[in-house]
Amino acid sequence: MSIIQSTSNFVKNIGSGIMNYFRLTPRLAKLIGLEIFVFGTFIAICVVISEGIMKIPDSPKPGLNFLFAALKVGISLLLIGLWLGVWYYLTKRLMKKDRKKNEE
Amino acid sequence: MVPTIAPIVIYILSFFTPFIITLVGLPLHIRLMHKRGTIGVDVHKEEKPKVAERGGIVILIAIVLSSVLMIILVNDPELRLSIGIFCITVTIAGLIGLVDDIFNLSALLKPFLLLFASIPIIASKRYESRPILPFIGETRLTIAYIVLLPFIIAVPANSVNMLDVFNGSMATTTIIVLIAVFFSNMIVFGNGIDQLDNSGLTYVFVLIMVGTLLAFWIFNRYPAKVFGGDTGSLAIGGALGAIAVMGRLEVVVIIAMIPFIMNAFGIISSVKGLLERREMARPTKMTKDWKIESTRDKKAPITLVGLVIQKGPLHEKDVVKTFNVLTIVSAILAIVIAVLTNLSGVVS
Repeated sequence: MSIIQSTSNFVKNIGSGIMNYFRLTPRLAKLIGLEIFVFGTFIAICVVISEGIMKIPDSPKPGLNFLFAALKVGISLLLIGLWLGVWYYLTKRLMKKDRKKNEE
Repeated sequence: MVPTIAPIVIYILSFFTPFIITLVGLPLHIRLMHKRGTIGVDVHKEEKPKVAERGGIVILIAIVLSSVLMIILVNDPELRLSIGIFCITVTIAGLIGLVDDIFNLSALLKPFLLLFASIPIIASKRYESRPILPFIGETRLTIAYIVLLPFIIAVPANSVNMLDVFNGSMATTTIIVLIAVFFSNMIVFGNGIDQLDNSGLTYVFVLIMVGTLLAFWIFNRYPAKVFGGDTGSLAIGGALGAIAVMGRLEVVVIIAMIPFIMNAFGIISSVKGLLERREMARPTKMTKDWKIESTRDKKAPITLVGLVIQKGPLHEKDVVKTFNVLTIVSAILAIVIAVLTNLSGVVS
């Protein structure tokens, strides 16, 4: 087999491999959507923390300042926890909904 | 005293050393496992081939030996310690997997034991309790971080373990995650591969893992000649967690691992807690033309595979491809996170 032939076969194989990936992608639409949603909400939370919670001014009193800092960390962690909770809930919902559809 | 070696040589060796060890070690391991009768049946094939088990042992040996070589080659004592700690963490996770492979640990005991894999990192203070978030920058989570740290190791380890169900699925998906981590490290810390400092060490860890996994994939891809077992999946997942902590790329790793975590969420929510694979009803069965379809058993866990085959049965190879597509998407999102972090100019 000439070099040109084997190169063309190699390119064809790669091409069909990539096409195969594209063929499978539509059935993943919901999952990819969920991935993007999870990513988007995380970015949104980061913006909220950065522009809202972090902007809360520090107190001049040392005791109060510690409380403020703890509160900021607490609220931020709560938001991240909420994000994880929503992610969990949506994954559960999506999977259960799809199973129901499947059973029908 | 070893003369100072150029970082590029270290990087090249970090990739090729584990690659060659795994490539040479696995055929020997496969022969040994067949001889000893430590084999499993690949239920997704018509001919039900017998496949050598516990390939993770070779993965673990490759990571340990490569780490030892790097410790010898790197001159900085701090970097040496970090490589050693990485190696110990992965070894602990891998050994827990090996114990599980041999004695079948309970579904609760395994993740509990994995929490202890983080002890070397905590004891040696190889972490920064200031994870970097996009727009926010370095956060101060002194106490909260130490509480969360064991989970940053245990969660990836368990979720990789949960997705290691088809030929080649673990290797390809984790390689994609590692590639995303490699580029994210470059983007977040703005470091090239011309120097070897703390963030440069992340490249070493990633290259060790990619080298190992690439060689493992050659034997584990469809039709598999070896299974990694829990030894392999827990070691690789533990390594991802260790890279996240030691490389300060926690968020990047979480985002890159979205499909793994979704799969874990699905399983945990459907079986109402943690159960071992052998304790659960099978979620899939084979069609006449040897494609994978759902069993529709209500007691079976809801997994990523279940969602992927909901629109019709798929061949095992195609199921792995769908996992890859999902991981590629999450890897791209992880790199976007890295870009946003860099653009915010928040890393000191």
